Amino acid sequence: MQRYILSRIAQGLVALLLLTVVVFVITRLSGDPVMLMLGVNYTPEDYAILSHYLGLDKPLPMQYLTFLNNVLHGDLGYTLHARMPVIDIILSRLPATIKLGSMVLLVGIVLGVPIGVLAAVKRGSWLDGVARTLALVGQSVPSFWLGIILIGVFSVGLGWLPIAGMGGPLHYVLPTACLGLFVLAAVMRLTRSSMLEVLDSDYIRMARIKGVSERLVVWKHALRNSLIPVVTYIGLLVVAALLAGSVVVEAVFAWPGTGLLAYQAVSTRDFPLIQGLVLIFSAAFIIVNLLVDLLYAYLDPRIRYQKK
Amino acid sequence: MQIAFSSMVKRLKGKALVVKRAPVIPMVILASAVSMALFAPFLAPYSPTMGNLPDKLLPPSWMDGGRTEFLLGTDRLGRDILSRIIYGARASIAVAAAVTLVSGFVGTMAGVVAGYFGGKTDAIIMRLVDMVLSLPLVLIALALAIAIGPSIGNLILIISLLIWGPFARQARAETLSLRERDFVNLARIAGCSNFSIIRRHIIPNILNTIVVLASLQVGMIIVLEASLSFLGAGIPPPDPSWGKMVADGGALIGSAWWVSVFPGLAIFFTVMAGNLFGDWLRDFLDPKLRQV
Repeated sequence: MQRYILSRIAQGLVALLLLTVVVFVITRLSGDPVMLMLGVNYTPEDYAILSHYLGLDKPLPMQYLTFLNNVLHGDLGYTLHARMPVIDIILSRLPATIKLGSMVLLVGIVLGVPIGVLAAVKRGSWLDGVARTLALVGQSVPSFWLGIILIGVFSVGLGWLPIAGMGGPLHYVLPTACLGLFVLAAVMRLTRSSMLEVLDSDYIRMARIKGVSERLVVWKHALRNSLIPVVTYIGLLVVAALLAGSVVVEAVFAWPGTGLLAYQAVSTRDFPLIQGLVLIFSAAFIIVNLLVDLLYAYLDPRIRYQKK
Repeated sequence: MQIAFSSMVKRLKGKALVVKRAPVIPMVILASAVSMALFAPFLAPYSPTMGNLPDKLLPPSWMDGGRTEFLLGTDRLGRDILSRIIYGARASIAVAAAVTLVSGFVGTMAGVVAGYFGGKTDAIIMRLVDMVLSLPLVLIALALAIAIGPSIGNLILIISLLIWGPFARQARAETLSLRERDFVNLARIAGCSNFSIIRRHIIPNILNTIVVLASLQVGMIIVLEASLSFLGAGIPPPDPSWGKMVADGGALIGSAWWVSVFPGLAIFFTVMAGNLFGDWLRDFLDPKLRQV
């Protein structure tokens, strides 16, 4: 177990290091930052001075080491336009994204797990049909389009809900529904297939033979073990789909979180900001991935012993 | 021999059953999307880029004020929505097809090499896969598209670069088990080179799985392309793409809903058809993938 944990942590660190290399390369691909900062009118001397000041006249490996050193000290540079520290801007936008993300997760889990369980237990029933249709739709509908339709119907047409932005509880309804459908569909599908597999296993048959009530069999014995893949998925989702993947939904609803920030950074070509966002979210994702793997090993003894 | 034969009959019977349940409607939708992309100039009634301003924002033909010559209405610049949807299929289908081929090929090769040779090669390739899979997809694609400039070629390159990971994982897992099989060992003893073992014994045996995985990825690729176009980092204007069309109609949702609703429906139906087709293909070719 200890060896497994250590090797997973080492893997995570390697991935993080690789990530900084990738981000560094992307930044260098995106054009000459000196030219971007100088604008149109500049002399070769200006250019030389600024490149020297920014350390861009040093060889690339040296530049990378400087970059890495800065990142490790929490210094992600300054935004191109507002000249504010990148890290401050990102942190100021994080709460809005986390609030929306928590709502989405709550809806996804509270609705998704029970529907998934019931769909598996009553396989082939109308409920199962509804669940499978919902999963298919959630998987296929583009969220930006769904968002626009929801705004059209509930905000513009019926006037029940605010169009965009963040404010009272009502502001949460549409963005949550829009992102939530996707999460709900995924959680439900996973719970269902995982439940089906577990319900077919010997120990469930054993529990039934022993006369354990059906309710206990389903909601205690079976659900516990089926939740393992669901937990993994939710863990990965928290960061992957909700923090960074919500770019589209936050852009549609003008939700003042990190997704909208990313959209704005991209449309104003603010490379230091984009670089910072990519770095932070990928790092968070790698770390969550690591934690989920460890949790997984803890939840499922089979993994623990196998990887000894 | 007898056993092999009877199991073969069983398999064939199973297949016949599944063929009967072939998803006709999704296949028709996919076929029409592909033919729209291929034959757009013959199918589209009007130019997708040239509009007639006096005809702007006409509703669909069945609504009050709609005109029969513009079946699905017109957009802000008086361009025919139907023609733009037909031409817009080109972006979606071209990107989906090219990305599937490129990422499928690269990912499969990487996975086979990792699984076959093992050791350090395996470790390096799989760490790379882990890293690529841990990147926030939309964000990185956006950043890259802006960094190297949005064009259909770059879009294909970027999306391929980001989604070859699942192919590599699947190919590696299958190769690992194939490598230990007798026919591979016998081939090695008979003096086959590594290259020819991979080409003649490994690849043909994992092809089914890869095809199924590819078909399941198509929908995701189309949504990703549409999302990037929606965010302004996809196909550059004036060429139509479904995502961009939805974006154009976003602000008009209260007054001219048809501008964004129809292209969105096109994405929705194509992606759903792709997913249904992929599900069926999986049951048909490779039922063991069901667990994934």
